[in-house]
This record gives sequence, structure tokens and C-alpha cells, in this order.
Amino acid sequence: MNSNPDSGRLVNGNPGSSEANETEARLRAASQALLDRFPDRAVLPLRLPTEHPEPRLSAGRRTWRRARPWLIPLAAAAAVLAAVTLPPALSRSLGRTPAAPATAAPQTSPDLSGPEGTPPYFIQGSTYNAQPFVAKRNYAVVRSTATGRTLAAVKLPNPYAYVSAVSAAANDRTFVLAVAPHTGPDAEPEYAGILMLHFDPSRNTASLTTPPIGPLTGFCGFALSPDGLKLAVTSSRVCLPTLVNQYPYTYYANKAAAKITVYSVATGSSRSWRTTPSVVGPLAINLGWMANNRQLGFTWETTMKGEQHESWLNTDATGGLLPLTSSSPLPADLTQDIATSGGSLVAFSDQSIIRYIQVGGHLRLVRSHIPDVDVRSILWANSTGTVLIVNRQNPPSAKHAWADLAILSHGHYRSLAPWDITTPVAW
Amino acid sequence: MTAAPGLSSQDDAADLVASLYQRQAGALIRLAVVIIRDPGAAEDVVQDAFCGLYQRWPYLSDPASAPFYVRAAVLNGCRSVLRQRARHTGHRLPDPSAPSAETDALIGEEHRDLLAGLCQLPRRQREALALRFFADLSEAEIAQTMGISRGTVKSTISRGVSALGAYLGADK
Repeated sequence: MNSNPDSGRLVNGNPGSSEANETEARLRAASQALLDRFPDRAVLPLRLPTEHPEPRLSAGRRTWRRARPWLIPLAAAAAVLAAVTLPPALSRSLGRTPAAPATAAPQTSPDLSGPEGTPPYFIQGSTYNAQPFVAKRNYAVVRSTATGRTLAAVKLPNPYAYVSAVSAAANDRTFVLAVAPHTGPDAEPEYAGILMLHFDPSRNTASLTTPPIGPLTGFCGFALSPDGLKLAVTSSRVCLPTLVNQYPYTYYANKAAAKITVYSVATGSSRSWRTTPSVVGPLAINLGWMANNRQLGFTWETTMKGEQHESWLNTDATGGLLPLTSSSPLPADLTQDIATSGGSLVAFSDQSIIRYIQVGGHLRLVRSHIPDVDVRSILWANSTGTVLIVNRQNPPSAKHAWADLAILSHGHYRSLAPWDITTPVAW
Repeated sequence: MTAAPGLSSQDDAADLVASLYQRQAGALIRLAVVIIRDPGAAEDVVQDAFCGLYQRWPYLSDPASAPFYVRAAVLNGCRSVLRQRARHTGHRLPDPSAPSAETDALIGEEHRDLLAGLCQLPRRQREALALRFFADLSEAEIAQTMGISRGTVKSTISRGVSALGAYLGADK
């Protein structure tokens, strides 16, 4: 990392108007000034703690990953059995998907539910390779909520190299992945592919199929409906720079448009709602389906105001303009991931759980304080909003984990598993 | 997670973390200065991030991911500083644009407006621009550090630059 203004990455980083380039030039100049006044040689030496890092597996607290030597022969036998029996079964189940070998964990009886009524399984982008721009194909894995154990892993088919987003249906079996090809560190993938992952808990196997959707350009995020039949995708498009005349000032700025498209997973038919291109319109849109599979809650933020808004979309209505009305704007530190709880949207902001509840056709915001930890986002909520799955940074109960996934129930956290923050997860 | 190759002893971990610190600490401190506008606190945030990296080194799934973890830890530390500052000053949200003479001296008087504008942006835009222009990261690296998609990074940066341009234009 350096802040050299001659760096090709910065110069070529963001095409835009002369005004945008001027702003970027000012940013680069400020960066260079900071580098000049605070060069690397001015950095104080590192003061490492006297306490040495504990060796792996010596800490009793990591019980969910503790080694069990007696399992090794059983696992080996199961692996041999799987190697013999799985390929024919997989070739039948892969459907129209390119060959994607699945690996199976030892057979166990399927979990009926996770702790505190949470879903028993979750999907995660690969943990095998943390760098998406390394030319190496990654995996999608299905893990147990209760134990964190990997139950099934599927390697992504060519040409896809990494998983950029995941979402789950309510049946604990159906998941969807946004996948992208290897591009190298400075290039942008031109599209996102969509894959469906079907998990068979009785055999701990997973298979991939390709729905008739995509590849998608401008992909930002998605949400699979609870019944697994509809996929809502949000995308954005940065338009050409435009001259903005705001008396008494005139300047160039990029306009952008956001779009929500709802696809039928079975047929690929779609319906879209979009915003008109605007300089101050919605920037990022985060999605969450209501339990009725019809209403789509979404949050969006504006640029300069620093506010985050919430809105609802009836996906049975014909396509058109996105209904951007908001009754309770919040500061834009709302987490990116939002969850749905029955008929309400749940998010996290400023040490509080935020719930948007529909009351008589209007939205009501309910804020409840939670214990002071670094919660980054809410990943799942039960129908009453009393049990949540959250991700925490620097969790106090697991000092060796960078981040963990935890159940928050009645003000108490229960750590589920250490989490590699660079990979997406969904329940 | 598999054992990190080549990490046979605690000394190895100390050497590797120190080596990473030597290469990246300066850029990370500058990044934190831009976000929290307090050089002293920025140095503390970066020190804490590397100490955390050292203590958790045996648990890294892949040593190559260490820069991502430490960057994410620095961002997280900055957010904590801003939250604590807000709590101490009695405001619900921090005022990151509050003038800091020390920061102004570091970045230069001529860039004060730009820094003030940067601090007026929503948090995600501010962090994305800081990572892009002050830490010189690619969009893919920013996506990993912030835990958002590349598409969102691209639109966030683009809108952030536009918004900052509008702020600077209006500020003229």
C-alpha cells in the first residue's frame, strides 16, 4: 500500500467527468500531502504484548472445533464410502450445472433446528481461500448452526472463482449464491452468476444448479424469498457525468440509478422497479422479504444527507418506479445486512436494534438498546424478533476470534462460531 | 481452517507481524487519521490492530489474509473511537468533521476543506474513499475489507466522489 499519486490504480481507478477527476485529483493531492508529512519512517515501532499467542488447539474454549482423534478412522471410512457412492448420485442431481464435485461429511441424522429455534444450517462462501482475486476456485459450504461443523462443500464450477453473496430460503435446504469469475486484483468482474444450492441433510450432500437467471451486470445484492421461488436482486448503474446546476453553483457529478428486479427462480421471468437517474438518489439498497413472500422491505441511503430510509415494495404490483417514501430516516450507519422478522424489517444501528413495523399502512420505528458490543449486522431474526443471529467484531467471549456469529436472545449473547469476516454467510 | 504453513514458533509469528507492520502501518495510520482526525488515536488503533493480529495469528485460516484482517480491524477500531467520542461528548452521533489542529497540520491547511467534506459523507462512503485514495486499495480489496460487494464499492466510491465534489463546489 502506498499513496503515490502516480499509482496506476488510482489514476485509472474511476472514470468520470473532469469535475469528478478534479475531486479525485484533490483526494490524491491530500493523500500525497499526508504521505509527505507523515512518511512511513515516522511510524513508531510496534509494541507487541508480552503474552505470546496461544498455540492452536490448546485453548479449551474452542470446543466446537476441538480435535477428536477417535473420529479419524470413522471419517476415513466414510470418505472412502462417499468416494465410491457419491459420483453417480451427484451426476444425476447436478441437472444443467457444469460438473461441480460435492464432498460429503460423515452421515449423521439431520438437525431439526439450531439453538434457540434458529435454522439448523447456514451457507457460507469458502473459507479455504480468503483472497477472491487469487486464481483458485472456491467452495460454498453448508454448516451446522449448532456446532459450526461443515456438513457439505461444493466447489464452484468454471468459470467462477469466488462467492460474493449468499441468501437462504426458509426451508433450510435451498440457498442461492452470487458467484464471480477470477479477474485479478485490479479488474472488475463484468457480471455475477447466480447458482442455486440444494442441501440434503439426510445424506449431508449438496448440489448446484443454474437457474435461468443472469448473468447479471451491476449486481449489488439479493434476497431469496422464504418459499425459495423468487429472487430479488438489487443493482445499480452509474450514468455519465452530468452538469448539475444548483444556483449559485454549477458542477459536474455522476448520476446513478438503482433497480430492484424480482425473478422467478423456476422460469427466469422478471419484473423491475427502478429509480430515475439522480445525483442525490438512493445509493445502496438492502433487501429483505416478508414472510408472506409478496412484500419486499428495503433500506436505502442518500448521499450527502447521510440518512438511511426504509420502504416497502409489493412485488405483485406491476413494475415501474421504486416507491421511495420514508417516514423514519436514520443516520446512515445502519448495517448493510437487514433481516426480516415476520412482517417487520430488522437492522442494527448505533448500538440499537431497529425494527420497522407496519401499523395501519404506516411504518413505525422501534428502537431497542442492546449490550455494548461491536455488532456489525443482523443476519437472521425469528418471527417475533426476540431471537437474532448477529455477527460481532472482537467478541469478548472468544478472544482468539476476529469475529464471531452469535445468537442474541433476551439481551444475552451465545457465541456460535468464529467467523472469517471476508466470507458471506446466510441462514 | 488449516494450520498456517511455516508458523512453527511464536517467534515466527512475531517476525511476520512485525514485517507486516513495517510495510503497512504507515498507510493504515494515515487511513485512520483521515477517518477519525486524531493522529494519536489513529496510532493507537493501528497498534491495537497489530497486537490483535499477533495474538490471533495461530488462528488465521490463511496467512495471506492477514492484511485483510488487520485493515478490517483498523476500520472497526476507528468506528469504536467515533462511537466512544460520541458517547463522551453526549451526542448520539459523532461529529467527525470537528476541527483538529494536529490533523490539519498533518494533512495541510490547503486540504482542510476536503477533509471536512470527507467527514460529512455517510460512513460507508467516507470509509470507501479513504480506503481507495488514502490506502490505495483496489475495489476488490476494499470489498473484502468492508465486507460488501464489488458493485457496491464501485457505486459507493462514485457517489462519494460526486457528493464530495458537490460539497467542495458549494463550499467555494
